[in-house]
Amino acid sequence: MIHSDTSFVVDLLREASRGGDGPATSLLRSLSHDEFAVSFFALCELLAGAALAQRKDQERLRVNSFCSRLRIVYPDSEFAETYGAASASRESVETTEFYIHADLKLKTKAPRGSACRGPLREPRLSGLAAGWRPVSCWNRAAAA
Amino acid sequence: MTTKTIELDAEAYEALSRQKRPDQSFSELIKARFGRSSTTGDLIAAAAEANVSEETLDAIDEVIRARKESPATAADL
Repeated sequence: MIHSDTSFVVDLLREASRGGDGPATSLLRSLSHDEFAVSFFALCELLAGAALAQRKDQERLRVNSFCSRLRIVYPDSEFAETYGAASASRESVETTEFYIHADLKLKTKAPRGSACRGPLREPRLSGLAAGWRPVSCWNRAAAA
Repeated sequence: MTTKTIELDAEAYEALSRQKRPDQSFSELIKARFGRSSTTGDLIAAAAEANVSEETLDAIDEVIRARKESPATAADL
């Protein structure tokens, strides 16, 4: 299982719209039989961007059509428990990154990795860290 | 496509109905929430046909950058 941050999806879509392969597409080709998932919170960010476009209805349909072909991981009560525990912690992270990575890790206990832009800044969820490793399109060696 | 019939009580039916978009079938809803699996190959194919504009992609990048303005806390479980 490969999880994707929103940043990785954006890079992939940008490469596709320009009609050529780039680092994100190449990384996926090297992992072509792995299962892939996108968090509900990443879907929120994609639709937030679509809502800011001039032709927002058209863009929303395009984003929804794209996402309808992917596995979207939705939050449930287990995520609420994790968020509750996190709210008592003192280490600060970006809220959406926490949502995305915590939720995906809860749903797939032993993910193969996470695809994102640049260095992975993974929220500390050490109790769920087994089997986790970053797969960044700027860090191909990590995927080998 | 092969179909199967399941029986729901009225409360379960209403609960499922509340989750469904007007343009979505019950089968689509259930697959989206519980059953769909996709591979990296599926993602490449979907991206090739998505045709999302550069303007939208730039706007999504802005949304990602705005994460810094909303810090949360992380648990050491």
